[in-house]
Amino acid sequence: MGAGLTAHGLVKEFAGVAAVDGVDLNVKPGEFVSLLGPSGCGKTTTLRMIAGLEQVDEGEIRINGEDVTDLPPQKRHLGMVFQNYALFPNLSAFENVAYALRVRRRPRAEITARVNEMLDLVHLTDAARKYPHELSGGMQQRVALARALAISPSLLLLDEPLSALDAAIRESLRAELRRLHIQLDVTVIYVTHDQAEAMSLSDTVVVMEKGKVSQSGTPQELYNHPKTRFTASFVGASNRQETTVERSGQALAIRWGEGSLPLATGSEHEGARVIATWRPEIASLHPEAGETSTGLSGIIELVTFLGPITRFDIRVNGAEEAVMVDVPSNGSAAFLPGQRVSISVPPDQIRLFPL
Amino acid sequence: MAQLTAGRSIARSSSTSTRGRRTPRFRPGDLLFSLILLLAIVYLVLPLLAIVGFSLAQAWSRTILPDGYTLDWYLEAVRDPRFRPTAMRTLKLVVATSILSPLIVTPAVIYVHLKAPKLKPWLEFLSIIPWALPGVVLALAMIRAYISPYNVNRPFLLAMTYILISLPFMFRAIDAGLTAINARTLVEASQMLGAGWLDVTRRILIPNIMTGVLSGALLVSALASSEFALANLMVGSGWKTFPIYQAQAQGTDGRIGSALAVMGLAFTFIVSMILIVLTTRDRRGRNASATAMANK
Repeated sequence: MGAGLTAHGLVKEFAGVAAVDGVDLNVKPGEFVSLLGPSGCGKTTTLRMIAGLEQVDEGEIRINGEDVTDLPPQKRHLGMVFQNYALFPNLSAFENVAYALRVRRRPRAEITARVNEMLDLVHLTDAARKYPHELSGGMQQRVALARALAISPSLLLLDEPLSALDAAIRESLRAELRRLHIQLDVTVIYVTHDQAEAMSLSDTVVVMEKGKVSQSGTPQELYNHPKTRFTASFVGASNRQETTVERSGQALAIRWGEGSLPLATGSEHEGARVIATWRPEIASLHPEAGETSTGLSGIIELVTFLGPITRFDIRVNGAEEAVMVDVPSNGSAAFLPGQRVSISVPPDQIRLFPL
Repeated sequence: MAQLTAGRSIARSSSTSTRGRRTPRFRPGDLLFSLILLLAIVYLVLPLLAIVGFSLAQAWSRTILPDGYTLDWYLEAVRDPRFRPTAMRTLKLVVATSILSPLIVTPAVIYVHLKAPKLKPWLEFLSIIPWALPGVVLALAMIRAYISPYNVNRPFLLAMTYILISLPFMFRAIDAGLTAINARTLVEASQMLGAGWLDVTRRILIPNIMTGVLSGALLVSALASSEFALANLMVGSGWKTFPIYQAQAQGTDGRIGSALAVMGLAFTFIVSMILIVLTTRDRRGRNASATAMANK
């Protein structure tokens, strides 16, 4: 039932500045794809071009193979959910959901049945007669969802739908979205700047930066094997440092502040300027016991309890930024602020991006 | 007023906490405020009371309160052969302006708001010009532009002039309504749901700006019912309106003039009351949600 979407070479300029600068997309039927990136990266503009709300300057968009680039939004048969809900304030929840059907002049019995079905789907049957101003943010967004799904669109577009909601509601709506996606077998394109949201919901995540696609892949791929510097720093937390690859005995290593970290074989060549990154959870802490020529050493500056893990901010000599190390909470009691520790980082988990 | 009440409620709660003493404590500021308010009310209301009193008085020249009361002046005013025709003409103006003004201005404001928001400041600027012109200048300009060359129907032209000078109010009222509901996003949502321009205007935009349109229309009709200068200049010789009659009657007999003035005031008062009820009642409802949405 879900539609497939392909887009090639999408370009959109505003006042001479390219908000979207050559974006390709390939969304398979039934997939949940997130467009992830910071403000201004072009993700919302891309979504709006897919919706038909923005004219495409260059490129084409095909839904199920059919070229829709110049088709007005009314004819594209898509569903869209906006960040600020965009519910019609003069209509009840029922009438909001019924809107698309009324506009198509469907018979009354069909409208009633379908609207009730949709309200049931989002668990809002009791709120049918309420007006948007009488509903909470979470409820309004669910009505918006029901409204978009009323005509069984083959493609559902969501523009940061959870940004305006508080954390608890966000969690529950996230679960709702996942459930609906599976239950309805609809293709979803989801725009967000929250990478946790994108990772937890999507089959594929498209990371965007400055109007271009930085990397596209499954959440695991992006997290474990980021291919670009931007993806590595935007997705998940990481420690990063601009440094040079140098020789250290038989192997190659990189300087990190005053210390150095050995690299795995087959890394960049000696002398290369790189940005080195590694994730906080791959490193391990040891109480300092004598000099270590490999790994780093430093003083614990800050201990932050995050529930299942505890994050240590460690001041390493010569390094500008504190290094973050995540340790499972039940193994972290031994380390206290002010203590000297050594950090060992598995060489094969250090990612290098040439400068 | 709200300040007064707030002050008093704070005073009350703090005074009851001191062993049940119930005398509310007035701060010196409250007294001064009440005094100023009272003076302002007296200043504004006194002339109105005077004119109402004069219209109802048998005689009133040397005493503080009228010397006997009568409805004679009202009866004489109404029986005057000029009363009915002028009142009917003004009524026609009121009806015409309150229907035509929304019809002309609403589509224009909706279009500019949605399709050409950059033009808005220009439109606002243009709409203020007729209103800012001195009455004589405007009247002569209208005559020069439309009556001399094309011999346009004068009363019709007067109605259109009233619409012209009330443009800023109409414009503001409708534009505020559209902004409050975030019209642009609503139209986009409507388009995604398959609705064309006619549908979204009919189902979504008009219902939500209704209050704005009505207040604008009421303002125009209040203007049309009491405007003298333009009417006198543009149609005064052959098509006298009620305000023109009011002015004439004032010249012949002040007591009849004041009776007519009170009638005119009563009409404007009713219109203002309707306006207030309309604009405040709805505020608690959907407009509250709209502003909440816009604030998110």
